[in-house]
Amino acid sequence: MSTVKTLFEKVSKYVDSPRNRHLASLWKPQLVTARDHWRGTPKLEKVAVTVEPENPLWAKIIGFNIKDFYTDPDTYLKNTLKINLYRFLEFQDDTPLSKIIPIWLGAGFEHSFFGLDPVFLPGRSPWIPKTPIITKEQDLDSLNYPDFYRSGLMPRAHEFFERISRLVHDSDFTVTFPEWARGPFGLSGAIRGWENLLKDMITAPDFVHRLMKFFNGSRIRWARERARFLGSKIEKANLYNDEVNVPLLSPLRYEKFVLPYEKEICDFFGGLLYWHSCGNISPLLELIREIPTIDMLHVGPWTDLPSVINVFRGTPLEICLNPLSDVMLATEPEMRSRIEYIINTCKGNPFTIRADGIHPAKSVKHDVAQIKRWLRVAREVVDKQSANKESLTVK
Amino acid sequence: MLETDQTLLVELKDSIVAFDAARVREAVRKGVDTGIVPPSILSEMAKGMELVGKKFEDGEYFLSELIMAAEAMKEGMAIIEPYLKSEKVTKSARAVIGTVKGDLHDIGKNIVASLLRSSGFEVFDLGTDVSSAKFIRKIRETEADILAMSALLTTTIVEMGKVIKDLKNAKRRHLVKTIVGGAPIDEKFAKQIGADASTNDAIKGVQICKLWAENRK
Repeated sequence: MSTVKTLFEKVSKYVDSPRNRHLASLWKPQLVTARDHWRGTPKLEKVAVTVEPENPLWAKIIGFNIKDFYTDPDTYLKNTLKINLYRFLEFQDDTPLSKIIPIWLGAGFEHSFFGLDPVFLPGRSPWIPKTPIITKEQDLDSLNYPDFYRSGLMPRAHEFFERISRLVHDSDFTVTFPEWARGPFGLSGAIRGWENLLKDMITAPDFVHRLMKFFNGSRIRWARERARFLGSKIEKANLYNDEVNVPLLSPLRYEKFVLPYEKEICDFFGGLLYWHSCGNISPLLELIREIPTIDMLHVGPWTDLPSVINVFRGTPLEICLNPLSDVMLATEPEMRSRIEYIINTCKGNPFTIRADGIHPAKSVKHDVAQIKRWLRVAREVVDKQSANKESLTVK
Repeated sequence: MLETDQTLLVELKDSIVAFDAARVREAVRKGVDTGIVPPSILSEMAKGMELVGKKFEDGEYFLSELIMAAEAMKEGMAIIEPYLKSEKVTKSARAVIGTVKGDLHDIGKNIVASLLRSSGFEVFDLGTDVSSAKFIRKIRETEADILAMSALLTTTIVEMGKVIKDLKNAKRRHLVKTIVGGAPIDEKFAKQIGADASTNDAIKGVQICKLWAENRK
């Protein structure tokens, strides 16, 4: 307890620091969500750069057992605070510190509601198992909407929320209950099996629609339960959609099988805070644009940046890098060249540059040094561009 | 070759391109019944798969079509295989494939395995989270010509380098061509870990393996 108390005090001290106030000023405030370490949406005036190692790397840097992190609320809280402090003090990226503790139980949280229990490999974050639940179309009929208290990881979600809420009780920290972020296509693929789903789109299109409807129905019902439980309103949602990419989906199939359900989610929640896919979405951009409200679009390293700017001009963008070739294996000139390209391509648009998806590559010492190197180079390039403000804002 | 035979072979190729397994089965059976030599049937199906690959590269076909076409090819192969054995055709190239230790991503790996099979390779798919020792064991056991490794996570990508190093230590490296695949992988990385090739495109990966198999003959 005393460690957590000390960590609360440390975070509180830095939250109120001039540097943190400056960092917070780089972002437009956004609704608080329970996914990762949210910052807000980027502003036009300044390019914020952030780093987000994956938890297997954090586990090595901070020194915790990753399975304990995802299964024990005390370990989760303590190390979430340590991660945030480390990022603020050591990496010194543009992520502001906050007094919000988001609870995120890892990839596979939503899948667990339907009987796919996350797999833990040594030193890895939990992942989605490969055994499909729906092996034949009729299996869908026996699948139920998730129970907000009992299905899959929900008992753990409640346990984490209750325990961490108790631990922060005497402080001005707040805890965010886990949210449902995974899109219906990703869930359909995992529960049905990817190869089956890809074939179903040709051989059984009605069944694919039934699947998508089922997962959207499940999410909407779950969101209502969550709002009732927390005594809050239904608010804008995140849509994590790594599986939406080309060549997994053709534009035609995205339009037919996925887009209507993403629009439905957008309608129900009153908009999307964030639309995310790490994959190549270049051929889908015009279609994604049809979703009425996207507060921020994630742009992965395989998506064509000029096309994004062309289609999504004015929408805040989170530009992510290839963790290997742009960051962990990159030389300084390669890092610089990539960041300059992003800045030159995105000028006139609000955007942030993020180095994420970073897993342990070599030694902790090496990995930390490489991340710091990338941040230094990124900062140099951004500062140089900021000195000529016009280069960031010119149309 | 009779005109009817030629028509049948065209039908065979077209039905692969149309990823229509029922048509493929029917055309293969007809071909066998009418006495078309099995290698010609196989060759025509392979031409169909090449066209499928071309359509994929051109952005006309996507993963659904690739999987369906590979399955149609597999069904045709199942009918023709007993006849091919009796024809004493050249031993097919052998490929060991898997997602490296610590990684459970397998969509791309499964598609490559499926395409390799439909291209006539004997494929030993070790699944996901495959240790270096398991790869080496299987390569020894099968006398594989090709090792294809997949990974999506940066940590597990490093594991690929370990497998290649272990392969060298096991004195098998010179006997096996190695190809690595996965979204973040590029040529620079492949070179760094000593792999022979890299790809993040299933069709290109299979083309490389086919080239290696041809050169092996």
